[in-house]
Parts: sequence; C-alpha cells; structure tokens
Amino acid sequence: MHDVGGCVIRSLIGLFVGLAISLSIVAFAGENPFSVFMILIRSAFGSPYDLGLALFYTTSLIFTGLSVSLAFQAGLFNIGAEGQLTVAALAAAATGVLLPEVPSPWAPLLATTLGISAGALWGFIPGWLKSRRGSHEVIVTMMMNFIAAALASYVVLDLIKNPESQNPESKILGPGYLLKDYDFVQKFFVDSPANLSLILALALSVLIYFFLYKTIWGYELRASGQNEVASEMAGISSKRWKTLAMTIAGALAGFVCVNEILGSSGRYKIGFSPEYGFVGIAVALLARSHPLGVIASAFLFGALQKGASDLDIETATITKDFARIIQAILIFSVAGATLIDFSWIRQKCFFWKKKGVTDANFE
Amino acid sequence: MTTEKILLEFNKVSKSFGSVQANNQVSFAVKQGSIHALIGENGAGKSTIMKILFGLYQADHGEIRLRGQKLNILSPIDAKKHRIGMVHQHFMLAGPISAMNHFFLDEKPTSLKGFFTPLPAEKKLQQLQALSERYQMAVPWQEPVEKLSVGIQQRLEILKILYNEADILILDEPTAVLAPQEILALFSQLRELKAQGKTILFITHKLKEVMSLADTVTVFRKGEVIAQKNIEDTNPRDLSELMVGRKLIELVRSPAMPGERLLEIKNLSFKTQGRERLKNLDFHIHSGEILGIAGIEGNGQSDLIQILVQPKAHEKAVSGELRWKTNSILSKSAKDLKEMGFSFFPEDRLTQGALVQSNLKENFLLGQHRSPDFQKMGIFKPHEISRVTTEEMKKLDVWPRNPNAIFKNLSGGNQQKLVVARELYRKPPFLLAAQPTRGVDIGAIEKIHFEMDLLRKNGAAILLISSELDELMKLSDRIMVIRHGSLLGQILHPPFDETQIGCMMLGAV
Repeated sequence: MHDVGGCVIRSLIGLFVGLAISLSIVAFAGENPFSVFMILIRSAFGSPYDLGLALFYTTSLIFTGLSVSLAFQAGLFNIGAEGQLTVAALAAAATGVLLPEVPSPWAPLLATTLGISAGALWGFIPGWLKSRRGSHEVIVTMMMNFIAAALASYVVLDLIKNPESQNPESKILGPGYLLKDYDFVQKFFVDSPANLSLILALALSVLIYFFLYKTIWGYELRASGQNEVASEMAGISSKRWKTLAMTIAGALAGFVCVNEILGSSGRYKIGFSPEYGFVGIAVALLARSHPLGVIASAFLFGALQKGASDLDIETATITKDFARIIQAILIFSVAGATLIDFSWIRQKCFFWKKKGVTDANFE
Repeated sequence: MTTEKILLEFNKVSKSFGSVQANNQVSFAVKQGSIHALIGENGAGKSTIMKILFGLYQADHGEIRLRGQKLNILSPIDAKKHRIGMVHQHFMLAGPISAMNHFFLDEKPTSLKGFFTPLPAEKKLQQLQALSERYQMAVPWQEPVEKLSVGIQQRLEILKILYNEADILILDEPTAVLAPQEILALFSQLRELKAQGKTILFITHKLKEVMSLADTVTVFRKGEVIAQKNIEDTNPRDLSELMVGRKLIELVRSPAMPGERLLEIKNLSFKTQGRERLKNLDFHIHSGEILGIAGIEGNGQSDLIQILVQPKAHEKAVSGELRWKTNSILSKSAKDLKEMGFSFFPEDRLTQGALVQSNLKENFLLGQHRSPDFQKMGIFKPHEISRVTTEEMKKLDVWPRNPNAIFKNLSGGNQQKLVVARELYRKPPFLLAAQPTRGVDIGAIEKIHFEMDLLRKNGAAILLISSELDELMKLSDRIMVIRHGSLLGQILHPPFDETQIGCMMLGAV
C-alpha cells in the first residue's frame, strides 16, 4: 500500500471521531458516556479472561475479514462468508463425530482440510456461476447462506445430534480432534476460549498479504478486480481469477471451524456464530481490504463484540444492538476520514504556511 | 462596426482546487463580435476559466467584466441571463428524444391553461425552422438524436444556445469529435454567427484551427496567461512554443525501409449479434513500416482492435486468415500474443489499458508482469520493478517522476506516456497503436511520435489507427480508409491528400 503512515493517521482520526459520536449517543440514551467508555475498555482488557474472549472473537473475524477482503480485491462482494463458515464447521464437526478414532496429529489436519474444502466449495459455486453465467455473486452467496443454515440444522439435529444435551448441538468430537494438546495460546488466557487459531489467523493474514502484493498471481487477482477489460486485454484471465478468488475466499471463511470447533467447543452448536460472516464485511471495509489492516480492524470489532455483551448486563438502557450502532458509526467515520486532504489543511493553515512546509503531494 | 469594442474582460482571476492552482491571475480581454481562441496544453487552465465564466466554478480572486459591468455569475442560470452559452466537450443530449423536443425539455407552463394546452408540435417546429434558417444551420428536427451524426448533434447544441438568445458562445474543443469536412462546415457556421454579431470563445489545442478561424488568441500555460496575440501577428510554430514553453523538435521521419511481410490479414470478416462488423479485410504490414487506418470512429476500428488483441476470444465470429509471418494466429489468446511480444496502445487508456487506482509501477507491469525481468518463480522483484519503471519513465519524460504516484492523478498526457513506456519496453515486433495521442498535449505528442518512428526504424510492424488525419499523414508509410467495416479501394501512398482521405472517410467518393 502507498502512504501507509497517512492511512494509519486517517484511520485513527476516524476511529476517535467515531467513538466520540457513539459516546454522545450514549449520553442521549441517559447513560454517562465516560462510564460506558470505561466498561467497554474494561470488558476487553480488564483481565486475561476478558482479553482472551475478545481475542477469540477477533480470530474468527480475521478469517471472515480476510475472506471478504480477498473477494473485494477481485472486485467481488462476498456476502456469503457466513454460509461458508457454516458448512466448513459442519464438515469439520461431522468428520470428528463420524470418525472419532482418528489419532491426534492427523485428526485436526483431516477435519481442517475437509472443513476449508467445504468452505471453498461454498465459495466456488457462486464464483463459477458469476464468471460462467454472469449471476450476481451477492444474490447467489446470500442464497447459499440459507442453504448452509438449513443443511446445518438438518445434519446436526437429525444425523449427529447429541442425545444427552438439551441444546441443539452435535455429539462431541473424537478426543484426537481437539487442539488442546498443542495449545500454548490458551495458557495465557485461562478459561477463555482463545486458542491456537489466533496464531493461525495472524499467519494467514501475512500470507495473504504476501500473496496479494508480492506475487504475480495476487497481482493478476487484483488487476482483474480493478479493471476486467484491461486485464483481459493484457492477457490476464479475469474470469478464471474471479472464480478462484471466491473459492479462496470461501476457504478463508472456512478456517473459522478451526477456531470454533477444534479450538474451543469441540462440537457443532447451532447458532455458534454471532454473524461473523456479516461482521467480516465491516471488518474488511474498515481495513480497506488490506490483509494486515484486517488484523487491527478485526480486533476492534472483536473487542466491541465483547464490550457490547458486558454493556447489556451492566447498564440499564444500552442493549447489545448498541454494538451494531457503534460499528456502523465507525465505518462511516473511518471511511469519511480517507477523504481528509492533509495538503489542503496545510495550505489553509496559516501556521504551517508561515513555516513554509512544502506540499509533498504537489511534487 | 463596433468590432473594436471590448466586450469581456478577465481581471486577475485565480482559482485553485486543493493544492493545484488551476488559474493564476488570469487577465485577458475579448472584443465584441470576434472569434477568440483559448489554447494551451491539458491542464493549462483554459477550460477552468471558461467554466468560471459559465458559472460552473466560482473564482477565488479577481473579477470578470461584461461591457464594463462587473459580472456576478453563481450558476449557469445566471450565465444564461447574461446571454452566455456553452457547448461542452461531451454533449448533453438524450439519445431517444427527438431533436425538436430537446428545445422544450425545460418548458414550464406559465398558466393553468398552458398546462393543459402545451404549444402544438407544428408551432414548435415552425419556431425551430425559423431559428435554423436565421443561422443557416439545418437540422432534421423530427429524428431522435441518437440517429444524428456527431456533427449534427453539435449543431443542435449550438442552436440550443442560440435559442436562448445567447450573445457569447463558449465552445470547448468543438472539433475533437468531427471529421475534416464537418470541421469545415462548423467553421463556416461560426463565421456566419460572427457576421451576425455573436462573440465566440473557442477552446482548442489544434493550432491549424486557430490560424484559420480565430481573430485573436490567448495562450495558457500552467494556469497563467502567457500571451495574447492577434492572428495576423503570429504563426503555428510560435504558438506551439508558447504553449509548451520550449523549442519543439519537428519529427524528421527516418527513410522507409520495409522488410519482410510480418502481419497478414486475408479476407477477414467478423460477425456478432447478427451484424457484420468487418467485411473482407485484406492487408499486410511489413517490418519497418507504419500502416495507417483512417476513418470516422465507429466504422469497425474497435472490432479490428479487439480481434488483433485477443483473437481467441472472437475466434468463432471471425472468418478469414490472420497470420504472423507464416503462422496463423487466429486461435491465440491475449496472453499468447503478449508472450510473442505484441504490444498495443489502447483506444481508451482508462478502460482498456490501466489500473487507475493503482500506482505507476503496477500499471507499468500490466501485461508484462510475467516477464522474467520482474519476477522469479512467481514472486516479484520489487527493486527491479522500481528501477525499470523509473528508468522508462525518465525516457518518456513522465511526470511526476514518482513510480508510487497513483495513475488517475496523472494528466492525460502523462498517463498515455506511461502506457507507451510500458508497451515499448520489450521492443515489440508488432505494435497496434490505437489513437496513440488522444487527449494528449503537444509535448507528449512529440515524444510519442518520436518513439513510434524509432520503433519503426528498428524493424517493427506498426498498425496505426487514428481519427487524427494529421497524425496519420505524418507517421504512416501507407494509409487505408475504413468505412462501415470495409476497407475502401485503394491504398494511399505519400504525399497524402487530406481532402481525398476526408472524402473517403465520409463515403463521398
């Protein structure tokens, strides 16, 4: 990316403005904005457990944020991360339930492979339809979300239901599938669901960054996303890249199964995802589709997710939905902040003018 | 006559957009009843000052006086009140609506009666016919606008202004879209308007037109007025050097040395959506040769370009032969041709040849990103890319000289120079140059023409497709004319006759 410093400063300005606006809305609701702010901070950073839970959300959001970002870079709008992560989790859980005897190092690998393959398939279908038939990916991925949800209900409740539980959830996976044995992350955040997947998510972000910006394939993918006609004329098969990008996006969303199924709960719980797929869109927007930006942006949304549930409990008037309002305001303000023109401010600002600061952009 | 009376006076007008000073202390005067040309390179500020006059922008400083009175124009509606009208570079016409009805689009009934009984069509038609008679501009009033030629559409735009009783007409690059004969027709109409006492402000960067039409000329450079001259006291060379701000080197073509036959097209036809786009094309290009294709836009040039850039994508719709040396290349993809070193300057660089949101390095890579110069096992060599891009930018004088600048922030001329730098980097054996200097300023045109001639000297085969006759005649070894998808009869050799080519383009042979 170009002008990284400017980008970061603009995002931070947007972030603070967004928070200020959000907190003034809190004041309208009759709460003390300062104490609300403190609850938010405490709920994310107050204890290793709090931080662990925030990081657990963050991990899933990194995966879905990457998924949406990669599709964005290819000029596609992936609304289907929710469905992709659902089928991935379903595949991983079903593997663990149906083949409980698989020993430890192979079991998680097998479940992960099948999980992300299922996610990839769920991305491939809309991608293929898009480049073959011109079907709009937004419509198709949205439909695929419903299919995934229905499929998950059927499989979990009718085929692999846990008969001992009152909750709508699957049987517990074979013991070899759980990541606990290797997990050093969990030791830092005792009792929280944070797990090894966090490291995986960070590594994937770096990997996707490298792929997108340092390899000819990433270049072709981005070129296809920016200008399909020019790419085709330059010998880049943008149709093939669009299909492929959706497939990779599906696989990335599919990684959520490692965090949720293998890393923490060890079973498929219906409704386990607090709409990670859709919040992933917000994560990608805030990160401007940059894979490294996704890390920061996912953490922000992860912390908000955690903070919102605490606000719900600790205050009288503010509900969980308030987190959504903050998310929306943050997206607006950070997106708006990209329009800040520093050179203009410098030019208009007498103080700077006097000092004779030259305008870098004008060069 | 009162031709010596000053009508319009610009007094130290300044305007900036962000950090860019578009107009800096612009002062000049326009006489009543004259044709006044505003010339300058892209971004010199000539359009900006006219848009200020027309009320589209507001000046930061300075004033404009009309007949000695200070003007306060806040919007085009105010401009209309002061009888100022503007024909924009891109016409403001609605395709399916008839020419006639364009005049009554903003018609508002002034009374309840008027609402129920609008002006009858015959009455409207009469009014308009009187108008077109008065100014001697014939228009087929009943036709939908999309069926009219560009020249007539422009005539319609001018009449729209005259209908509103404008005294001052602003024309923004009016000849950019016209064929030579249409330009002549436009000019005689403008002279007629002048004779009727109208004042015409005329933005252009074509000096020949200035010399033949204008009475006075103001030269802009980098937002400032460099000179104001009477036409009798100047010449094209003088003006172009004022525009560019340095001496220009006239292109001296290297002697023709055609070698072996490289590209050959035999009996090529192209049919899509039931319509025959190209009919039995037959031509070949030798090494060391530039073959020019003249023609009004939309006569099959774009189809020919598509076939030459990605033959495979159109394989099913094409019949005939397309050969490189002796091998058929009809089933080659764009990628195959790139690997063979084929290059092309796209007709429209923004939609067909650039990643406008990306930086110059990434744009330089487009189409040659797989070259081993820039990657190893699929991983880019960032330092090498930076170095080569900077070096090639220097060769073609692309500004700003910053490979990390974003493409869309460059001026048209610099964008095109970057595309040229990219396409010529690998020393292509074949170049398809479509509109190589469209929307590009004189300095850049000079550079691009020089590079194309150099490539020709080094033995490449070049197909030049252009709507600029001057460019075709300057660069080509042979010229063919395309019309309705067919190549017209003979192939022309130098010295070229402009009138003859113009007639062929219009089909008046």
